[in-house]
Amino acid sequence: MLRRVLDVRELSAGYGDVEVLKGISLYVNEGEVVAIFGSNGSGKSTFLKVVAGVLKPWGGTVHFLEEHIDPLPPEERVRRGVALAAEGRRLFMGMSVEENLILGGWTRRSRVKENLERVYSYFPELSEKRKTLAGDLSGGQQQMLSIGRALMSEPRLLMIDELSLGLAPAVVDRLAHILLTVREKEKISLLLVEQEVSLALEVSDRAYVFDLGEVVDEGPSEELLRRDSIRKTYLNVL
Amino acid sequence: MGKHERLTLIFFALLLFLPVGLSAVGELLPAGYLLRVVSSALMLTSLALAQNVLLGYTGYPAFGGIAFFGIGSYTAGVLSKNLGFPLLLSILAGGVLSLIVAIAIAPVLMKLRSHYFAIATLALQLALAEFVSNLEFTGGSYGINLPIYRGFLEGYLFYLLFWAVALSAFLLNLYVDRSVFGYALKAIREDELAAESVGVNTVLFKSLSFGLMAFVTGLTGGVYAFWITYIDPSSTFDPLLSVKTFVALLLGGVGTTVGPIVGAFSLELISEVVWSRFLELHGIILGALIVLAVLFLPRGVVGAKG
Repeated sequence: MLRRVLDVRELSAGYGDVEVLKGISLYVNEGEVVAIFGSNGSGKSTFLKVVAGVLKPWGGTVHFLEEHIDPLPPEERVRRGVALAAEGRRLFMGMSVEENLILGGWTRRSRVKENLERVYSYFPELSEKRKTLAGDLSGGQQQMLSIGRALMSEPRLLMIDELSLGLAPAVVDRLAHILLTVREKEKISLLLVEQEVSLALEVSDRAYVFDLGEVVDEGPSEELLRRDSIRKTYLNVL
Repeated sequence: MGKHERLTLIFFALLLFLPVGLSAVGELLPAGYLLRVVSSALMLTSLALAQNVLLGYTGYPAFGGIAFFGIGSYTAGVLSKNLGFPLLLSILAGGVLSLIVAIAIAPVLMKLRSHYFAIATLALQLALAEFVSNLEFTGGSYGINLPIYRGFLEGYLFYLLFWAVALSAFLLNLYVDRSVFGYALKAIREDELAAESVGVNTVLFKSLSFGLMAFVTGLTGGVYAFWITYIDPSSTFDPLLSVKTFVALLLGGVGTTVGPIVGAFSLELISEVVWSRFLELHGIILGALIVLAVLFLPRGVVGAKG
């Protein structure tokens, strides 16, 4: 059996007294690309926040590489190989491209130089804009920086929240292509949260459908792509 | 190092020789008065630079940061008067105690942000003033009279101490501006959640930043106590000093290394020239300065140029 990078069981979480996640179970195998999609407010981003450790869960368990990581603070999770490229990029806008990347490598400070070269090799455009402020980049470049920053921590699992948000389709295609190259080269697993369902199903091996904080459907992406209910609800194909 | 920063170091070097220069020209100039003005400016410089580490680089406005000025001056005063500690050791102890108090309360206090944080620190400052007024060994609301220092260098010692604290504070700002430690602080300023998710221990780093602010502010308070020889709650926990620190910082440029120094010296100059003549109006002038600085120089004199 394949080793599970991420194994989440019966996870519940929320804000204040509003329950957003109602018992989510989800796993990601080593080297796998898994997509999560679903309508707004279905709990996708909340799920990633809990896995990254920036939001405390109410119940359930999270295992990463067969270790129980619930009690660990975010920095310890990053050190073990969990990286999140958060929704809306959340870059350090007043800092340069290179400073953003250096911060991404915070938990791997001894290898910052090698990792900078590694990230620049995937995103040559960022290399040309090392000194530019993150806030002055185009949307596509900002998304590259967000992914690059996450890659600086040498993750085993890279989680990306809304890769396509606000970007032109051609840019999204390029980013998806680069991501698959990264996966191939570094043997990492990807967990993508995506509103663009056709994209999510195209690039992923398996997918989960969230609705109102629950998993309502899951399976191999090819299979979901053919399923009528999915086509009607999410792909606007009649 | 930028051009402005090199000029600032030269400026500090010149200031070191100011007392010598003044004694050379002898009775031509009111040397004591000029040294006092520059001492005040250096004191305000230290306070603004201390606050700059926290507000400028970490994004947390400790409006009541002067609480640590009070802690520093009272620690120095009590240790030297009641327990006979030597002067320098008393001052250092004031800084260290400020640091310890700051680190202890930071994890709780810094759950608050922006104006909530500013108000909480101001509450701390006012509460400490009340607290000190009601203690016996601090002389209550009468305060403490310290003996006039007659040792090595006499009055010049305090000028040199203010100079040394200000220079150290400047070097600290230079370090924060370009070190990896500073990157972590700036990341917190830019986006605390993102800083946390790249693995920066935000509680640790913002506490350290708060602690450094407190340490420098506490040292400054200690030097002030021996310089002025009389401390009481209303002068050492003075809200007007908080205001002046922020005006200096806003005027010069928040988040720049040189700005706080430019701001502090200009403000001190303005106050000497202007409100020695318009004593009743100085509050209004101070208020107008804040408004003008925020409206026309949102990034300060230095930020506007660079």
